[in-house]
Amino acid sequence: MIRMRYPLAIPLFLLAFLIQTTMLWRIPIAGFSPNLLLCMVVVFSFIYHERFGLILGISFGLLLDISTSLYLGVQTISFVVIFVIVRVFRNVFNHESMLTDMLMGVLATPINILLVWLLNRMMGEQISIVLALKSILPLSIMHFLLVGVLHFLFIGTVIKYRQDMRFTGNF
Amino acid sequence: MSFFYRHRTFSIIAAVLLVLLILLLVSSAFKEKDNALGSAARGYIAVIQKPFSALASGIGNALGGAFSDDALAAENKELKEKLAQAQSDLTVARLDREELDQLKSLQELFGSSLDMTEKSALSANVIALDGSSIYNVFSIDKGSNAGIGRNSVVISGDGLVGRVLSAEKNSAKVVSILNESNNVGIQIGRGESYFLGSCKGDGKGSLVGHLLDEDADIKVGDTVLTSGIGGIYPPGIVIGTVLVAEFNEDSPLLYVKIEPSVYFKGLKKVAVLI
Repeated sequence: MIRMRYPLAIPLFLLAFLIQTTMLWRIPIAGFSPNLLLCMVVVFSFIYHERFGLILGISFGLLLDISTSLYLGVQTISFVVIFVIVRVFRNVFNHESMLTDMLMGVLATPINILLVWLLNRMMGEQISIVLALKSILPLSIMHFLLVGVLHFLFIGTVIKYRQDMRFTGNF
Repeated sequence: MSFFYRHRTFSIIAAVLLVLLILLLVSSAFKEKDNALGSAARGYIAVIQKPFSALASGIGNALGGAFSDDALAAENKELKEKLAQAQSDLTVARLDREELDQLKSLQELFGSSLDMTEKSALSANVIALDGSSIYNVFSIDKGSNAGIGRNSVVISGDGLVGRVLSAEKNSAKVVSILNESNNVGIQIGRGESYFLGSCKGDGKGSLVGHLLDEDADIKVGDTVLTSGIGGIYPPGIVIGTVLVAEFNEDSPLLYVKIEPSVYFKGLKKVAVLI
């Protein structure tokens, strides 16, 4: 079984960043394309005990801000807040549950959109909140599905014998 | 101190958030100024984004070609290019010498010093755009090495896109007119008359502004062009069409709402005026 470590996680996040900024926007659905990095942060924060979601969320959030944002730190702050919220839920719910992880993706979407809007508004950008609210539903649906796919791909690196109820995952 | 030690995780996250907030405020202060560190970072990021963008573009073109008739597609593309050129020529023809002189005298009146020399257009590809964001900021694959600098005007076949916010050696960051913090000088033509004004993004995907002439005979569907006043955007570039033209109680000037002619989320190829 492959254990998730930083030398593996970093290229995965880099790939997600490149796909999001160079490819995904070419196939918009309802005028939007999913935030792949947000989904990665949610999944990595929920299923892993280590702080992948925080460290890589900060690093690649900064790259995303440098590349496609007016201000540095907007998406990054959002990713840190989402990491904290997902971690709180991780302590309460089963982190192996795909459905719970997918619902985390749905929860993270409006938090990310509204926080980014609020921070840009504080810096003087005059984008209406109505436009931000309109993007929540299509993005929530996309993130719900995407988090499910990512959870399915990465859960094997956390628990090897998931059908064995007595296996706790501790090596 | 023992509080922070007992609550290490909370302290670390609070410290990280504080640093990020400071970073946000600093980037806001330096938004309109060149930043060596940011420019270097953007330059390196663009180097790895370009091949991915080219790959995505190639895949998109291949898939599109597989499901369409090649000959018709090629003819359609050629016709679109000819139409864009014809529209550009028509716009230039509208601004004949007598009207240019009138605009020049108005520019002098407003204290503007617009450079009226001919500009050439440099083609560039959009390499990075965050499709999940409601803000229209993107990166292109040409930079200062090709002659692009801050405030270089970016257009597409449909009209005005925006301006360059910062330029690195081989890439540049562009902000669209919808997110433009500066007002854009506009002119709307009706017969032999041109009415001047200014507009900016309304935060809902359109542009709103006012015309200086309260007696302007403007109708829905009129084409809105840049006027050249303001110093950034040269005159004669299509911005969009008039959606609403009316008086409201807040201002004695004529209020206009403009629908941009460019679909910002679908931009793949742009031209930069240098």
